[in-house]
Amino acid sequence: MSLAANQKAGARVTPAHDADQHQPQKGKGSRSISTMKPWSPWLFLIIPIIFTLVFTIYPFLNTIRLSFTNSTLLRTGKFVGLSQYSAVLADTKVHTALLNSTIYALCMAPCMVILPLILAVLVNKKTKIMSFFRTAFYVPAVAGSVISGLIWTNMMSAKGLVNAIFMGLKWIKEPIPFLQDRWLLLFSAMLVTIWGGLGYYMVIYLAALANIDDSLYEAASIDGAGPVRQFISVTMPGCRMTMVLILLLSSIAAFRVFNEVYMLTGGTGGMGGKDVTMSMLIMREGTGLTARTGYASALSIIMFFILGIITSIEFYVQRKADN
Amino acid sequence: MRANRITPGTVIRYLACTVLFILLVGPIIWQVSLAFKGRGDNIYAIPPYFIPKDFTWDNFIRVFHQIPILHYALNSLIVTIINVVGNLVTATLAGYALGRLKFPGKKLVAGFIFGCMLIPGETVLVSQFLTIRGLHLNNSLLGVVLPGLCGAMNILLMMTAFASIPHELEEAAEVDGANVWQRFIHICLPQVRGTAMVVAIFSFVGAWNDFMWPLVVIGDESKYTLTIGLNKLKGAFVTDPRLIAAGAVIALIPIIIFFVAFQRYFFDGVETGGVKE
Amino acid sequence: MNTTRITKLIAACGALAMMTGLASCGSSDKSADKENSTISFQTKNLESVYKDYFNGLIAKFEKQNPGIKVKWIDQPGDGYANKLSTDAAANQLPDVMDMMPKDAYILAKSGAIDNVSKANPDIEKEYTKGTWKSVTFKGFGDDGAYAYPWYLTLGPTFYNKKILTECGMDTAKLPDSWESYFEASHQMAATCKGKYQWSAALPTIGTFGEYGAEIMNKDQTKFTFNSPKGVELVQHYVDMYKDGMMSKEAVAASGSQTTDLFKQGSVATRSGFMYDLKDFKQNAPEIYKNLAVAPAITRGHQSLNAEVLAVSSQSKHKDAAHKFAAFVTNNTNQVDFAKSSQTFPSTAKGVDDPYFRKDDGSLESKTLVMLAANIKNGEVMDPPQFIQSDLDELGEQLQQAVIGQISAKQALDTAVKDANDRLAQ
Repeated sequence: MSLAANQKAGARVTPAHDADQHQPQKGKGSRSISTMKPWSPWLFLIIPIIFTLVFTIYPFLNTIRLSFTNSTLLRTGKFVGLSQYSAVLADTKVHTALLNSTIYALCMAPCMVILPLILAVLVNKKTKIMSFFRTAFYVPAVAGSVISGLIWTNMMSAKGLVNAIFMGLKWIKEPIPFLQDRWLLLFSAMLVTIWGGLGYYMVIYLAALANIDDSLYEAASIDGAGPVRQFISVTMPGCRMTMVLILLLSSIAAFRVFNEVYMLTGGTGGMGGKDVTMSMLIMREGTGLTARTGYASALSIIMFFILGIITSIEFYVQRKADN
Repeated sequence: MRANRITPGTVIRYLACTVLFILLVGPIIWQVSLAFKGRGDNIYAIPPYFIPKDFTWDNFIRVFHQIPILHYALNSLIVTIINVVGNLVTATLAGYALGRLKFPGKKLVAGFIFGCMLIPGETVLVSQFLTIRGLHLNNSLLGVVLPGLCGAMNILLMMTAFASIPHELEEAAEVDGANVWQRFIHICLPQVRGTAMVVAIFSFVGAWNDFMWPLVVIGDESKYTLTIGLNKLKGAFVTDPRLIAAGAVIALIPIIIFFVAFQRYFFDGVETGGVKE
Repeated sequence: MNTTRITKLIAACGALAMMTGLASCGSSDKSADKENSTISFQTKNLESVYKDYFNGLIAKFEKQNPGIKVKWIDQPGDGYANKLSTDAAANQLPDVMDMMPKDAYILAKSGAIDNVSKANPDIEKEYTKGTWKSVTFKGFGDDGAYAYPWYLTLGPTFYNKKILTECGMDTAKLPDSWESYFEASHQMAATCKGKYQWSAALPTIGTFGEYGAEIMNKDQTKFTFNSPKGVELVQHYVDMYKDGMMSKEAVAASGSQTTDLFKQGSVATRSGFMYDLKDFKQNAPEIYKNLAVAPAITRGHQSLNAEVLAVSSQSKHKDAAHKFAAFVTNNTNQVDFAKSSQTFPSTAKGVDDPYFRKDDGSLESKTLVMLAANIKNGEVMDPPQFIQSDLDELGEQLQQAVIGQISAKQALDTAVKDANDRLAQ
């Protein structure tokens, strides 16, 4: 019985699914067109399209153009074919950055899909105290990366609060080099990302949870399912679309990570430059007086393709799971 | 009405919430403590102590003295409000068209807009600046605001929200002869208020905290936003952690007040915005 | 009906465009009086502390030069070079701007800043030889100086007497040579390993000069600091790290963090800056109480850090801009600025001012007099040709060498090779 309820819930809260199933039967599409002028959708879309064209598409095309030149910021370059791309692919710094960004995305995506959902379930009660916690948990997301970067650099430094507490409790004798060791720094930056991201994704999940019918929980409860079982058999299927969305958003955001690592390393790439990420490298090569815009553009285009691959894989996995 | 019984589940829930509260809000509260610590306090003491021994408002006074922080906050507010309104408009318009309407070329437009989510913002920074300069908007708050008025992420959120409205609602109105704009405004918009609130809060937070772009666009101090202003606190010659903590606290106050004031509508919106049958 | 709607929309768009156009007109230059030339003057992160000095300076200049107005803009130190580059790419540099000789080198190379030797042929003698050399570039059209030397920062070696005493070192006999400096570190390791560290800062490019290693060949066509002398310097730091006399945290630290480490009281020495004294007094009173100040360790010439003023080659009021830059960097005004900012003047006669000779017994004036004596034969050792990417890479290579991932020789060879590649581009 609970299984049947699941399927029903899944169908209701997954719009794409829903639409696919119902449209052919009801013939909704043809009826819509009959009451809508052909240009109506474009009136809705004209302003967003103009903004996208001017502020994203055009600069992006410009980036593609630059990637085939040896331009610097202060000098218009000549066409050099693919030589910027081969220079990028041969650069050991790029290899380091690719590794770091990939690790970041691989670690962050599962954390951001699961932890905020648990958080959302915890506070999804209409009591005063829970609404207090809900608000409080969102505060780090509100703080923003400039401020949270400052806060956490203070907290994680050798004499910062985290080490001071551990040393005060006599758990450690030497301060933990959160900001010095290559891997610890990456791990610390992930903690800052989680700190700021939990509340953000929690809110998206709260919206999804609101769509799950309470009767499903009641049914599961009658079937004898405990909280954990309910979470697995009702909550997770009910939020499936949102989970996929967050998987996509958080893995892309994680691959693009900049602020957290930048703030924790004080703008450098960490010890020996080993904590540099793709965005940091683009930033470093593409801005400043000595900017190599051609090189940075090639790097950006390569990053663009990697993000495209991540997205395609996730869409593919989702489609597979759906079938 | 269920009876208020204390079950182990409830205890665990509250315990977990308390631990999470310490982890998520504690660091901010620590900055507050740091901001009130005077010169007589050893800020590197082991074990650390929370209550300042040499309590002082001096750090805040120094911040106000050194930078016109209220003026910067006003600039940030202007940028933020325009950003929120702009994003609400573009995201609902595009979200509705992509989420509910069927028309030729829809997939292309969707690919076009969401494809932009994959373009790292850092990449197009200089090109964007040159575009803004071409419009003669550099060194103006409008130049800060314009490129951020149409967030693809917001469109995606609104599209998902619009798509999950039951077809029956709109079909009924359609039968009554409502055209697409009437259905958009009277039927669908009220259904997505929750998501709209989410978009508003996300835009507010994003615009309030934006750092890199204003730094590039704004040259004139009188147009600084708060994040750039705060950065100035890290003076060329002297760094004082207490001062930075005080600046962080000052910057946090308005946004936390804004959020706490609107959180009821925000979270209520999140819940009632969903479709309940 | 739909046509009218579209027309309305177009009209609305037009109105919006007009509004934005008007907004931009409104926000642009407001100098109504066409007789006046208004020049913009950009400084790097000085406003918060030195507001009064600059307002006074500008008022004085405007009074002496009726018809010229100066609009002062102060920019944050973070991202300052980025700001210069976007402005330069957009042909929008301020008329007069503060920068490092490095920035001036790049901007001169791309023709964005004006030749000073041409505009002011006689001004060279105003400044010390060492600083004038740092703004004199060859091969960018007209050889000559491309900026006006402005304030200098330099400093002594600070010692934490409490640590030295606790580790059984003689605070009356502080190191006075590189040899005794590294020997002292080794001695301290014997008594205080694990408790205190000797230093928190890795060498910078200037340190190689102070150690006596040649940074660049005479023609300034190649970097040469991977010489045996350079490797020797780095090896001393490798040994220091092995001795436990430099922490991992210190190796990873950036500039301002190395100060913090000294302020936290676990590091015995710091080759710092004059302005550190104020910072110690304010933020680390314990350290200040136990502070000993000794001359920087060099082989005769101290490395100076210079800020310089350049004039945009796109400036509409070049004459006024040069006039103002020369005014700000003239002897009187530089000495005035130095007095209020713990920096030093780069003018030839600057440190002759009685202010730099008056030792009233305080730590500050003692340090001031000690440092002022080093200005005249000091050099800006960090070559302007050694660009930011080179500096970043040198830092990263040194970090890897010191923690033992690569050898000192390997680190310097890589840094030199990549810097030479960039120089040739």
